[in-house]
Amino acid sequence: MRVVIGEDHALLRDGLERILRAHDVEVVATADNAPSLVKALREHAPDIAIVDVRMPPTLTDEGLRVAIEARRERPAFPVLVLSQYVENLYARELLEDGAGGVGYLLKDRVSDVGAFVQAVHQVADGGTVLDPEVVRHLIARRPQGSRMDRLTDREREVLGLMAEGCSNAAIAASLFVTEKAISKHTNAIFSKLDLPVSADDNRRVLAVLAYLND
Amino acid sequence: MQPIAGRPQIMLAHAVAVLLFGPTVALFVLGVVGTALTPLGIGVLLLLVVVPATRLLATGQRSMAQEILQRPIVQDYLGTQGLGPIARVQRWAKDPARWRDLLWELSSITVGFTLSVLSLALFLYPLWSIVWFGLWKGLPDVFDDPYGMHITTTGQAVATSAAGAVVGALVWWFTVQPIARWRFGLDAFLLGLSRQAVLARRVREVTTSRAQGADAAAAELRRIERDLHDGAQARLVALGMNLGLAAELIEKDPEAARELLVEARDNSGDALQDIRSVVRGIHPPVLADRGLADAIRAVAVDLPIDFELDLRPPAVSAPLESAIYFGVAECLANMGKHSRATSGWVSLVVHDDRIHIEVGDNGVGGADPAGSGLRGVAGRLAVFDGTMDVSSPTGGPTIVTMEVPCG
Repeated sequence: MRVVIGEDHALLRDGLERILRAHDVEVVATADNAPSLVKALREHAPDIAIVDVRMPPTLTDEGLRVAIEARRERPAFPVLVLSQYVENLYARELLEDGAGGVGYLLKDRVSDVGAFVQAVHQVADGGTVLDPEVVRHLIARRPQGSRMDRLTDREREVLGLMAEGCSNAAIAASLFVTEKAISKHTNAIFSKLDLPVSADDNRRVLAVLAYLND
Repeated sequence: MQPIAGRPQIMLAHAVAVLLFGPTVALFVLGVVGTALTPLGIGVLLLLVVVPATRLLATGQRSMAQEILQRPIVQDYLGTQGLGPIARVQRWAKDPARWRDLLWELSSITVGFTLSVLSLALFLYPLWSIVWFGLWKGLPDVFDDPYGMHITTTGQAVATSAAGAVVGALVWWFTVQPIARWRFGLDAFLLGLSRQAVLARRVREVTTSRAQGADAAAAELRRIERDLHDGAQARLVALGMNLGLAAELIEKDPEAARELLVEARDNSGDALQDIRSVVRGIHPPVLADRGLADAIRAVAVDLPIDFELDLRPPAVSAPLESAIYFGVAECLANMGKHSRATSGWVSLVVHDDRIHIEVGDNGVGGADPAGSGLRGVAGRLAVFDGTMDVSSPTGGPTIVTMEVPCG
């Protein structure tokens, strides 16, 4: 797997590189500002970009905008966005095109090296990985009369874990039930949210998006 | 009764006003002639010299009247920066303040001058009365008929002289302040803004300073957020990465894991250092523990410059204290970074309910008051009606003066 990293903080750039190399992921280029990140993405056409939200020159949401722009140029281009803060708004903007291949994590999650590398692989394979922090937020504020109200508590729990990027097997493990039970839950979720029948992966993304848009 | 300056001051002001009679007449005449001749072009040239000179004279009179009447007298002139000569004269023609200057010149050389001369004459009369006695002694034939009396004996002369001196002194003593009130009150009326205009101006000032204060506070918060984001937070994330990787490697490659752990320990120390400096930037511990004087002392101690400190801060509110501290700290930080000074001074004293602060050094000068740091200080002080002034010619010395009411 070939990766481009966009991160302006040298300390963190080196840390990410070190972790990825230790797990046989090839870092083909790094960039410390938005313009050079754009250039690197065009030049190397990596399998995935790992991008910090806040980058020079403006130190605002430069990285996020580069990521969204890159996905416009190459639909479904996998992007994993890292940030010191997670904002639902940003998560929604990233997922808006419904194509999957999106990750949005707090930088702290990188310290769980195994889980982080797994998330990189998942996003590169077209999955969606949202930070538990985002998911927690969403569960905390659910407007009345939303589609989410149709779900049972258990189904909401499953959807939350889905948003965090867990596979059915992983959800089953963390809820101490069989994978078959989880399959039933996910199907119930898809139908209650009026999601069209399509590839399972894509439906998962749409479910998460419905969850975010609520 | 309105307050008024002491008698010696008043007499001095009258004397100065009388001495300025000549220049005032000249400027008034030239101003009128220049205005009349403006269509001929020559008038424009004349006005370009006369109008600024008039303003200078009026400003002097304003500050004198301010001293005597002990109330602020201010005037707003329309700005003429960047205008060509013709446009400048046109702008002056539209500016009521300039016309009032001209009107004041007229009143000053008539009513004002008369009042000043009267007051001075009353002041000198007792002296004249004593001098007259001497003259009478020397030339009794010439000086023997004051006020229609006929003085022939020394006794009569002494009595007359003494009576004149005492009565004259009494008259002067009791009229000096009323006359000054009329004279300088008229000046103030013509040269100063009306109460309403003063209030309007004050509101403008307050609005500006409030905006400046809000800007300064917002900039401060942005700075703190950025410092935390780029400093401590990033370091802690890197620390987590190192620890995570070390945890993975501990079985496979203990040596590499050990290196990562050492790096992580250093990172944690740096993160702590970052947090400390941010906290110091928010509210310095010494300021919290020991107050303004020691907080400034603590900043000065850290610089490789010999300081003379005269710090006698009054008790002020915490926000004002903090604004003063950061103002002085900013000046000292600049001094440490740019001045190449070997000695410096900081004085902070209270005078007339105002805090006067001076920070200076013997360095190379060239400090820029428009720089973001000093502008921030000015903005912070403006909230408390404070002012800042920077004098820093190339080659030094740099002197920053700050003034703020005790609040």
